[in-house]
Amino acid sequence: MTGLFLTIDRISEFFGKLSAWIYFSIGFFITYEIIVRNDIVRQFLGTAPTIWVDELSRVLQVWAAYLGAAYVLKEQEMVTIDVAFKNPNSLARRLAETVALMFMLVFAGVSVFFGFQLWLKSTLAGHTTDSFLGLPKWFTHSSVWVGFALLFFQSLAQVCRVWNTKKINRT
Amino acid sequence: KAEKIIRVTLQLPETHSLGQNWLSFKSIVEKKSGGSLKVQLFPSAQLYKDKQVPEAVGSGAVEAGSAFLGRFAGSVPAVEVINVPFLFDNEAALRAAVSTGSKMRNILDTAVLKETGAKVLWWQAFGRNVYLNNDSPIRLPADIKGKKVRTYGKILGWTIEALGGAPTLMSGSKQFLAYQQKAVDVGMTGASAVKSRKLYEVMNHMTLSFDSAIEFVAVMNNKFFEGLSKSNQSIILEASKIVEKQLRDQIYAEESAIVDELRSKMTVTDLSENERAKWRAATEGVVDRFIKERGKNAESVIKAVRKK
Amino acid sequence: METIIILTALIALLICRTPVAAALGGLGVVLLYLKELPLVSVPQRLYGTMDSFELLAVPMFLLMSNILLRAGVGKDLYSAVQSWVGHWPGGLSVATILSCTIFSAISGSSVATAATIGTVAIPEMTKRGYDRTFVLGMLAAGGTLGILIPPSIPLIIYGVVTETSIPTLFLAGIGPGLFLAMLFIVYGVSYSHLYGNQRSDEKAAWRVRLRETLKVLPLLILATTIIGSIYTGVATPSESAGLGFVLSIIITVSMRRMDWDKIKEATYTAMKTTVMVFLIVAGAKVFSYAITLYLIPQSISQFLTSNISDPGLFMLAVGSTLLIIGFFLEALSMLLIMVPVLFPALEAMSIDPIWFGIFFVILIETALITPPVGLNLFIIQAVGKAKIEEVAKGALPFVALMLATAVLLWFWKDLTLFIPYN
Ligand code: NA
Ligand code: NA
Repeated sequence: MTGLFLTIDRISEFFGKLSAWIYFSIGFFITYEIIVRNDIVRQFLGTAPTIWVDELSRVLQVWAAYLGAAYVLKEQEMVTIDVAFKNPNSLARRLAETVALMFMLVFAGVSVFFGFQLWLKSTLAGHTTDSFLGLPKWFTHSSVWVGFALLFFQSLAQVCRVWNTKKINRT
Repeated sequence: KAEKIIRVTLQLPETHSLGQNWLSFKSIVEKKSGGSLKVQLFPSAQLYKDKQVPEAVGSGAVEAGSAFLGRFAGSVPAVEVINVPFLFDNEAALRAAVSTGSKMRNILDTAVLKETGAKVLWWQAFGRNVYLNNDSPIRLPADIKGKKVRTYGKILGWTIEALGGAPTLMSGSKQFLAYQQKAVDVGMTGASAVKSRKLYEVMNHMTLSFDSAIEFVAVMNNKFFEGLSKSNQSIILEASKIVEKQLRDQIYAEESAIVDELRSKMTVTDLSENERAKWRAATEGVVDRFIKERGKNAESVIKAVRKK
Repeated sequence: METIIILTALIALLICRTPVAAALGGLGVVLLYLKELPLVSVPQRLYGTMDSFELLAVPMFLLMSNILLRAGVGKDLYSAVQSWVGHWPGGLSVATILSCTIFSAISGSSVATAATIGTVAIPEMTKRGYDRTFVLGMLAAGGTLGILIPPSIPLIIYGVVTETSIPTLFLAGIGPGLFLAMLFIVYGVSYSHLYGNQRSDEKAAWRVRLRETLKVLPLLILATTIIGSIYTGVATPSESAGLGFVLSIIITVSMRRMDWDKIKEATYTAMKTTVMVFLIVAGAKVFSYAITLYLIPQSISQFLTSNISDPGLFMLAVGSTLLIIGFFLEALSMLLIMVPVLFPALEAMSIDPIWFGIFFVILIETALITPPVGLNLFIIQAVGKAKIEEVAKGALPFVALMLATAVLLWFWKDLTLFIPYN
């Protein structure tokens, strides 16, 4: 069991860090685009204004946002309201956290289930986005169900951790 | 009889002509169905942004909605026929081509239904394309040559390329600043936007090319439609026909009122038949490119428009 | 009735420590399910929410702040300002607020501002005998300027949600932001004068001032580039944030303040905060979709507009509600939950949406420093190694100043609207 959780943790961490570097690189795309658009280096590059930057950075942003979700849950960095159940070892706290994670599971589960169906349909039909690049939807729209699937499994791992009596000193 | 709710998602506010168009659909449908159909309008993108409407309606997440026709291009590329320049000779030809039951509409509506699961109820007129320029009016294709032009769609970009200009895709809200700062030389937009976005303050010539149309579509989830009683189905289809004509008459009347009003603020240029013929010849390549690149329905759609 | 049940459920979930994102998203899903509304809308909402170029400003500004924080830029800034005003009576309070103000012009987040300036200012001020509670409160409050003085992440999100112009919102934040900073300075100096037993610095020599100021020159150039590029139309807020991020790397690397490990840390921290924010935004979008279909915002705004006809009273009701909600709710959630509910009523009351955005952000600032839930209280508690009660007590006078500003905003609309509309 513990081995399974550690694997889930590692996968979440990998994609979380990937997400971080996606954001990092978007910053450079945008800067490149501003420079090119404002004719600063037009004479060197001779390229047309780069419409693709806007679209590509949006697609990458969706991917990064949802790929990072599981990692943020694992690191317990999600915003929670800390007004009750402050003792991490009390039964009440464990029950509360379980309820909380159930809602996470419902949210993530629905997003995966319906997101996958939607994705499958447009993928089989070969649809693209209606935008400039006309990117295939199998690429753009898989971000939701892939990211939430990671979040779903990480939530399961967290539920089990709440009840794992051996590891009482959770941070 | 159980009451069926038709939830309608709209990007624009309720007060906009498109919102009013839906409200008049609502009043007809609710009255004729004796309350067994109820229409709830959710304006101002409360539910979905424009670009999500095809999928939202198609999947049945929401029962009905309006979207810019070009939003369906991802699944039915041929819908962009509406942007092919000078394909419709005049207003009468345009009206004939876009009205419910026309050959072009039958091909496109069927394809949209098949690809997305959204049933087209009616097409919503939004306006027609004009060109904006500073210094001298645009009259002939040569006036575009070497110019940087703002466009709002892929096919419009092809048009500019065919005329020897450099197209720049830009959202409507960025126009004012772009014209003011001379980031582009020539503007392409709908006539009503020239007034609403105060573009006359930064451009002093407007050419009424009316070479392509800007259309929205009112769509309904097909499964939902099929699940309605036969009588309610026909109530919806009847109402659609009525409000389609209503809106088109209203939009074109408003457009000409706006143009009249703008005459005092900028130079307005009409194209003569002779001039239009030159534009048509210069942009003939766009039609070929459209047929070549826009998939199986493209050719039949062009044929449907041209056969009278 | 429906409204009360939903609200109670939401509060219960939040008290059970449900992450805000999951409480909003999960409850939204349940609501849709109960009314047999299609759940396929959930992934559609999720995709549509993140598919926004405007939102990109959030990770970009966070990346930049994190880079600057790790390069120790806060210390430079503070020393420079200190060299100019440190010898005044109560001069360090002036230096602290001025540093917060300047850093606010680069950073879009109040947490980043509080952390960056707090790290330097708290030890400096306490070392010179400033009252500790006062210092902690001042830093918690000064940090909140980060979201009123542009750029501002809450204003970006307000703009995205309400489809109002983000650059206009930014311009509208300048007046109240500087006004509030001025109030803080006046309060700080008077407090130090009346109750303090702190020591002032020696007056710095011009040579020292020049040297210290030159050190922060790159920072000032960065601030000018960000703000300048937005207002000249060279770049949108997201673009200028991206540009600012890249520039901040270039600047800190060339100052030899940056290494690979720090870049890595900054990148990971910025990602975590971004995703945390974005998940709340996504959850809130699902929740607001559900309550919109339940016609709740529509009926609340109808209720408000039909029972309160005076816009002034309406704003008083809204302001009090936000103040109370702000005790418990995290700032961003407050924005995302309340704006869709209140926004429809604005038009009926003929309240300017830009003005309302600024009013809202001032109440968010208040929420950031009111207990029990206030992000800036937590940050300063950690940075200053203090008790939360201490920070909250010190912040209380600043809460009063912010509320006074919110009231003033109503009677003096030009404080907000003069800059964007003239
Ligand atoms: Na700021
Ligand atoms: Na609070």
